Amino acid sequence: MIFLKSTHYIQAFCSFFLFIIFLGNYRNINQKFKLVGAAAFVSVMGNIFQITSTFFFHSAYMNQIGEAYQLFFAFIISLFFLQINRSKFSQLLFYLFNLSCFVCWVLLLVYLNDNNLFSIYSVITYVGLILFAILYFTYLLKYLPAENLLRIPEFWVAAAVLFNFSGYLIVTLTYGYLVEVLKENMILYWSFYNVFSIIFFSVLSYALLLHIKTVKIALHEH
Amino acid sequence: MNINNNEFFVIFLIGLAIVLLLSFTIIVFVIAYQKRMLNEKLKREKLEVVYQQKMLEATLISQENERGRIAADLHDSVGAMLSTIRLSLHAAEGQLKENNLFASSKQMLDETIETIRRISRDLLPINLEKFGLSFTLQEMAERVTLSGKVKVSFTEVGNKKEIKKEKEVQLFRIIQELMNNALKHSGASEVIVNMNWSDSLNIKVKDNGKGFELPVSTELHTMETGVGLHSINLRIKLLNGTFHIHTEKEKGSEFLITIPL
Repeated sequence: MIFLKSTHYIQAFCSFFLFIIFLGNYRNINQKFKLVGAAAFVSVMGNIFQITSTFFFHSAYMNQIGEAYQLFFAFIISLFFLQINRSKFSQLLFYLFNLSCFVCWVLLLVYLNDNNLFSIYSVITYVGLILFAILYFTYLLKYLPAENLLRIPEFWVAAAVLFNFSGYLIVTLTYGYLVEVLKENMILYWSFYNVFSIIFFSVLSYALLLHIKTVKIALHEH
Repeated sequence: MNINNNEFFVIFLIGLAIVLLLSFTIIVFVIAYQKRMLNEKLKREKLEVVYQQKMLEATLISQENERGRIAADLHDSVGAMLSTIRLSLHAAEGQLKENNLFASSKQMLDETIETIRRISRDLLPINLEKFGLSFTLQEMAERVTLSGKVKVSFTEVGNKKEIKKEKEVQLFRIIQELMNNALKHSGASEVIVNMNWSDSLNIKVKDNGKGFELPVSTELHTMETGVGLHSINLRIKLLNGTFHIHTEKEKGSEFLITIPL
């Protein structure tokens, strides 16, 4: 339990750190990366609501907060990918993905605490975001925009999304079996979830700092 | 099959490790493949540059050959015919001594013969083949100075090195074009041509003319200065050299060319 709590607080701090970087350098961040800042904001708000719910409402509405957070977060990240890759397939995926997520979210509001539905909703979200990342990688290979990919902030965002949501996907796929068959309380498994979030927000922070540095250099040269 | 919590945890860890490894492999693959594609693209671009250079070289060689052919035709055919007419007229001179029209026609013919010789010499500098670049430039400078329009001085410093005849022709064409520009467009009264032999060949052509405004673009073919500078730039590129222009309105122009030896 301590491990779960500590990882939860660390991941909350990491998303807050990303948000602070975003606020501190707002003027040096372009439209695309403002979406990363918006994702950090949604994450910070999600954490605040969840902590408030834990302390003041005995963890009531935790699932609803998590589901709404997931919907907003997925929308913002998919919008970011649409901004960096405007191919027809990417646009089609964007609309299909967000429509599916929205429908699942509405159904979850109707059928409260339906574990199967929640699993489906999560799998759709994670697979969709993984597809966006892979689509961006194919775009990189097609158009070869830079000599060194590691210097492209968008590459780091895509890598973080791929790594993070692959991990989330495995945790989610085991969720149903653990709860229904093994009657496990998932504490250890949710800790993995938090560890992935820590890595995710750290890499996003690096990508944002890299973007700010690139913008500053470009402004200086100009 | 019944599995307990610990066994499931191990399966979960293995599954997680496989998926994460897969994600990591995708990221590494993208980096490696992109590098490979980029290298291939660079190779293709290099090949294209080499191909374009060869095409340019072939064009310039064929241009030189064509110039040679025209020069030979002018000199051997038209020039010879004019000289024959001149001789015939000379023979008839005694009979038509009083006729002013005859005298002016004879003068026009002399001027035509001289013009044909000059065009022929410009098209195919025979001295370049026989005596080399320095001599030809010196001779050209003296010839232009003698015409009385512009004073052209030619100087040469450093230890002269052997260069290929094709290179000499290109260099001659470059300097010829720069001098033509100075004579036709700059309104200069003095042109200085300097050749400096060191690790590279540095050529400076300076005039005291009206200068011109250099556009912001560094690509010479986009300049409004006509095809002359573009052609010079192409020839310099072919020689793997560099070309710099310093010009100021009403203060003249300076052209610096560096050719690796």
